[in-house]
Amino acid sequence: MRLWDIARVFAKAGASSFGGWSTTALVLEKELVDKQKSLTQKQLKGAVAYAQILPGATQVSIVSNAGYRLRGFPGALVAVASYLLPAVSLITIFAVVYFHVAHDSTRLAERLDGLVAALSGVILANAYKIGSKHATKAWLWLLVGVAFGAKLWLGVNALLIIIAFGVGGLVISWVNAWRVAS
Amino acid sequence: MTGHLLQLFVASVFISLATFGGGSQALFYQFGVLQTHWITRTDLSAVLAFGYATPGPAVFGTATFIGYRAAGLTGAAVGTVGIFIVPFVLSLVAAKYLTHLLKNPHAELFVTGVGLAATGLVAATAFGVLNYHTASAWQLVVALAALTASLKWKLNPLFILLAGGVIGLVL
Repeated sequence: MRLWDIARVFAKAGASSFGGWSTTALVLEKELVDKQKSLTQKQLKGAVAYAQILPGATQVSIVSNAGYRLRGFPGALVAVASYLLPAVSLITIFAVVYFHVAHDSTRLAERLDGLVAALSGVILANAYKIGSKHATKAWLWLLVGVAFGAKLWLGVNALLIIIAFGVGGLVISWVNAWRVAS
Repeated sequence: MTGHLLQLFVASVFISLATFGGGSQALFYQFGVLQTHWITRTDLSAVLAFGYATPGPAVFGTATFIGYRAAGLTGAAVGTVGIFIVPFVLSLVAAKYLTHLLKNPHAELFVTGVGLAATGLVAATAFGVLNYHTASAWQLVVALAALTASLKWKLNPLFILLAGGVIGLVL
């Protein structure tokens, strides 16, 4: 597949991927598996499976992996760059306009009061959605509460909380395995 | 300037590494608002709202935006690269190896731990974005309505935010 064609397909996926990685996977399936037959269903599924596990934005993992399977390293680079181009251009234009025009208005903060309130509710809903994936038992929500309190009331660094919880999980897992073994 | 760029790049890489399926909003709030003061809560709300209205991973919007505020167009580029470099390199170089590693039974509890922490942090961000001590009664009602609309009626966040914005302008 020519690099130009890779750029075209992935830019299209980047411009239409609203609402998470599944839309990206759907566009790639339609374009690369069904239409152009340059990737097999199995290869694309493999890319999606890897992306689920790897850290970082899932879409970028899917796109890099698919691009790599199409045309090696140059393919991966072109795929990611063209996939991100629509979103990054839009947000840069937004940043320029926001900071040079809107931000100078002293009443901006007041005008956005309603937006900030609604966003707070949406973020809280996001927290619940993320939590439902991980807190498989009711008591695990208590640990969520610990992270919440440590951040909000004690002002502990967010990255430190993440590392502590990850390492805590590892330690519990090792202790469990050691108990079973002995 | 170079110091800012380096700080921005390192923070973006760490945020990217630490986000297994969510939680980046909390880390950007920590880094951009609390730690560096490059952006305000209102700025963060504006870019998150805009992120819902644009295609692509929302995490990029915030990285590009904070980067632009810190160091202009170069900053926007550095923030963006910092966020994409981790999944890009990992999915090319180490996808197979890492998949085996992360399918290891010990890694399962590691990911659960990180996920639980991310949940608490994202919830704390919600309370950081809107200061519940100083918020007016109508703002609390809007926040509660947005929570219900998102969880119960599964409304698209963009519409919820637009509705909140319009209510704010009218009141």
